[in-house]
Amino acid sequence: MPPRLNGTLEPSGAPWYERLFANQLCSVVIGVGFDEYGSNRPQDYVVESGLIARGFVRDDHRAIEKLTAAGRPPPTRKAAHYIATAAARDAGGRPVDVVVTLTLAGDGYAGGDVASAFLEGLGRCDVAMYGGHGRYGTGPDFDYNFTADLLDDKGNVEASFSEYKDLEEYLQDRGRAKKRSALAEYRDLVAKRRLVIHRINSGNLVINLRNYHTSEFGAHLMVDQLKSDPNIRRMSKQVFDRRYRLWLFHGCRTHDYFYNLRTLNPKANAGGLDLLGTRRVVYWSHIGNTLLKLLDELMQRRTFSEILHGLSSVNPENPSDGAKGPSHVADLGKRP
Amino acid sequence: MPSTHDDNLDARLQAFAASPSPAEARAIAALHDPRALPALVQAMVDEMEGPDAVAYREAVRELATPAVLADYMGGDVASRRVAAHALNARYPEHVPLIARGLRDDDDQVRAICRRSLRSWSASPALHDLFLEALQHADARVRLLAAEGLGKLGKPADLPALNAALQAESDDRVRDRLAWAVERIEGSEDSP
Repeated sequence: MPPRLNGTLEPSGAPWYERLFANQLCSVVIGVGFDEYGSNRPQDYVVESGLIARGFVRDDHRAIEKLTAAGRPPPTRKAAHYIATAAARDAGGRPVDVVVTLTLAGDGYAGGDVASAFLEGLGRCDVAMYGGHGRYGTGPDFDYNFTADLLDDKGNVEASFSEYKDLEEYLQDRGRAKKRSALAEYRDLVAKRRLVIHRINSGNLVINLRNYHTSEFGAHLMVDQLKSDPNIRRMSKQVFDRRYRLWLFHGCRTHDYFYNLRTLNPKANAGGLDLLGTRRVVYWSHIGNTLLKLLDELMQRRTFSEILHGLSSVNPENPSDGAKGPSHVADLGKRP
Repeated sequence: MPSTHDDNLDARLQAFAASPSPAEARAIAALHDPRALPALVQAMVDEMEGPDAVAYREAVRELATPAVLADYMGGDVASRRVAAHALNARYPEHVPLIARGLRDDDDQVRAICRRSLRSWSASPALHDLFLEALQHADARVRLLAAEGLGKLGKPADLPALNAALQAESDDRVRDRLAWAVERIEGSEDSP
């Protein structure tokens, strides 16, 4: 098993609110990733309507003015910016305005651009939250991953796949007669050049290329095709200034990200970086409410323990998926 | 859609929706009761990753026969969205329903059907749909049609692809059309 950090269910203390709310402003980026079956779209709506219900209004121009006035870097990438006045209070009881930048993968058509806007938000915002596929521990994703063409013996395309679950289902069917797993069938077809993978990785932000789920076909496909792409965006290449940040990655088993975020991103850790992630599978239908829940908890200056409890409350256990207990864990950084 | 009241089934589907499991998905699919389709589709699309993902898909495939899908596609918006999620261009018998979904009044039905065109098998029905879709109002559909025809690689499609290339106003679609034309012409030239 590759080295990993599991995070803790019992974190002490609270987010560094003095930094998050400095100059009476808090900047937040919320990213909702992509799903090949469109399950992200209802969650886009949940987040957008949830912001409005909390008193946020979309005002790109004013949001950028507020960010600049409070000494926060302004965004340069295209995204939607919402602002809420006096949504929180700082330690002195003074009102804190909150600017939320929304980066939504939508139909994945412009996934690369959305990924760029979210990546920019990871750097410039006090808080970053991602909800979407964990992509088997590899990182957030804002578009399709690949197309796989199945060729006949003359090189004609017999079938084309753009989603790993489709491909897995097909290979599982095909392998049954030969008593082979989907993975064995995949390896065999790739070796014979009967299955050709075309990568689409512009929407991936790659945190990790270790395979933490070697029993799962999708994990092999995901890691293999990302590893073979020299142009992927690795988080380890990103430059972050020295500043406190809080990041939530809400996808399946995103504690897989922790080890690399700590060991391969020294610049992100230099100013103190608190990480929240999941310790089990989660479900699309809970994503929007999870992101909004963290926003609510932060605005109320909750402790980490309270935050984990709150996140679990909107991600109830499903006895059938084998993972029991709270949904989220924390891995807290060292404050300078 | 089928609305005959059945307390037992309703209770079972409600329990499944609250706490889905692959075993129960298979058991429900085995009932072959079309009323279970929305719950199975919801479980399928809600599952993000992990070893259970394929089990939910198989359950949907078992229940969603072409007749069941056609019935749902003839229903209200919610029913059509359910059916669209179960469509897959890998199955030739789904292709006419995908074509219908691409013309649906509801943008979500259209969007889901558009996505279903990304995974396909080289059936003659799909080839005809790709040709028809070169004229579709949505540039994203035209792009998928161009890509599909390019991969299918039939020289007989070159006139249609060239005509579409002349008429196309979207840069990305034009790029895919040009790719398709080059791909087919290239394969014609090869020894």
